[in-house]
Amino acid sequence: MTQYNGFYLMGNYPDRDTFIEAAAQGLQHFDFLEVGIPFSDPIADGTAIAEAAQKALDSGVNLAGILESIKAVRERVSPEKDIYLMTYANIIFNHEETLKSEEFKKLNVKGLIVPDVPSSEDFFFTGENALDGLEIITFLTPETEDETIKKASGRSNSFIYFISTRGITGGSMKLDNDTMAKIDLAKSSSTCPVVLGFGIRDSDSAKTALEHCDGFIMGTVLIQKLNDKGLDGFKKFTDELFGELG
Amino acid sequence: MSGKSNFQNLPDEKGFFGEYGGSFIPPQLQEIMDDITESYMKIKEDPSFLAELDELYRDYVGRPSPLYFAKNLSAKLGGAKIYLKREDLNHTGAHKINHCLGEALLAKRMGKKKLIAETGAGQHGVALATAAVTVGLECDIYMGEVDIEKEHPNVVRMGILGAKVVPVSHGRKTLKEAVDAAFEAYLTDPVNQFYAIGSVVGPHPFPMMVRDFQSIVGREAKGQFNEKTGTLPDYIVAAVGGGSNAMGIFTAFLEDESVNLVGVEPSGLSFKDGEHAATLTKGKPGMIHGFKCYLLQDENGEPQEVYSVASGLDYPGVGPQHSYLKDIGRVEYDTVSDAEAIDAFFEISRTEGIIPAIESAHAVAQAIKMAPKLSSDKTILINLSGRGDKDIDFVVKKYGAKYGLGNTL
Repeated sequence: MTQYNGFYLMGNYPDRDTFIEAAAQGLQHFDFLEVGIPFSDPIADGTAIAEAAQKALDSGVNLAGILESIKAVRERVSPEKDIYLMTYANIIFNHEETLKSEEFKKLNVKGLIVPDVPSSEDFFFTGENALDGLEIITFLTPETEDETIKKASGRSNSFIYFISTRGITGGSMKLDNDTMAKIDLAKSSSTCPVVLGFGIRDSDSAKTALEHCDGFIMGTVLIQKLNDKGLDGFKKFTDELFGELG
Repeated sequence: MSGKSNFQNLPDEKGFFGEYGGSFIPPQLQEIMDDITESYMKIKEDPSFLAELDELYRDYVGRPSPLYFAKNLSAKLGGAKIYLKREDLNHTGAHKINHCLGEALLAKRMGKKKLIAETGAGQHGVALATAAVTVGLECDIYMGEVDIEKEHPNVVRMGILGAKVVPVSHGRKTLKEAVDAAFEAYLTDPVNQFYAIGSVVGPHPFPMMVRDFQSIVGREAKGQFNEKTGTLPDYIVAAVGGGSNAMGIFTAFLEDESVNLVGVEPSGLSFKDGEHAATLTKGKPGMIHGFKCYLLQDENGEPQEVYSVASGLDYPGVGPQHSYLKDIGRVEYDTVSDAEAIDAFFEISRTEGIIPAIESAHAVAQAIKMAPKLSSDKTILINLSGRGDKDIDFVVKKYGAKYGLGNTL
């Protein structure tokens, strides 16, 4: 199966131009981009992303501005590349009108990644609240029950986000036998890619992820590269990463 | 008013009170919460657990807390008779110990080794550190560096009690960052740790569980009030931040339609953004910290800065059951300003010899506004949720001059 690899950037962070440039460059290697909409209480995120969110908020970053930037990214990348929004329930809840608008549809955003809406609550954004054509991405974890994995995998269309470990973003990845069995079950129950996230920060962990899953998601380490080494450091890191992955 | 609701059945099995509550948390945390819910549902029916908790309430906390007729204050106001439920007389000085002991016992029975929590002003931290000692658990309290500086006496108390105060040095170094840090620590080892949430907020089962542990306050008050007067109070007044003391006293009376329930929110300095914490009065529904509730938020859905002179009341969200009780009209929510609360703080100190916590002074202020408009055959029961020892230095320094306390102090 072809790979489906993604990367996370905080929208308009560290500034609008750098975000657009990093997004376009990253999408030369990656298949999809997760654009973070900052929220001040990001309970699934570790310090690196939480601090980026706070800095973004302090400098006035909001959904409207980020959508402008996504438009600019869209103009620069192949239409086959996918873009998702990643944020928290309250941001979605407050912007339903925007997310249902014609303007938004033109951006061709494929789905929403909302870590504080576990599948048991996703009725919240379905039925009469449904956001037309926007899929809420399913999360699975090493502790998800087999029955839930089968059901959730069956109804996913874009990809399944498998969280490698307990904890928050920015930790380390570990895959034990039980987890790998859960990943296999998800893969055999679904027709879309099963992608591993949380704790993937170099070519070794990416390779491990690709041995078991259809792709990987990288986030914290890229935010750190942008913080420490700027756009050049980000480009060098992703070029080298995909060079090593072959 | 729809007092006909069957309040016994709330929340539903997913933790919803109407549209509020629930569990908006990352999936890896959901499994931990499910585990806590399952254990709690079993344990709350377990006679040996209930007996152990009762004994602690009686012999350790000093329950039942007295119900006191505030005769001087009532006479001075010249209207309704005011009664006080004296939660200020509990061990550690406030109602918080009620749910901290419940959570600590549950954690112990679940085989946990350590209680963790965040604290802002330090009250929840002190109560939890105390509960940890008596139940026999370790305790880590996460606290922003700014708050550690401000709330020195409580930091010292926690230290004396053997708890570890973990300073949080990122961001604004206050309560919000302390919540983040405690969550982060919790997720790294949910097997050995138990995150003891400090109010009727957070994901299911906490709003239900903390309410259940606090509901002893209303059950006692109902019996005591009946013993004194042969009837039910006409009004019950309680301050609402997250809402634990208010749910504690309201719960036993929810189905008594003749009892008017009044929750008091802080309007702080003014109703301008950032100058109050009147969530139910000025907020709109949203999600924060894992649950849905009324929330003070800007047009982008960002939780707003909040303020109250009472640090225990300045939270941008509020308990989901309060959100529900507001919508169905069972509880009326009103506001009291900083200035009114401070007035009430001195008024009850000087008429009854009882120095209240600034949080509780908000409820007293509300009763002071209501009583003169009511006839003398009416009664108001205030939940006096805590004592004011923690507040005296601050109050005298900032407001003393107005009340005849000059630089001599």
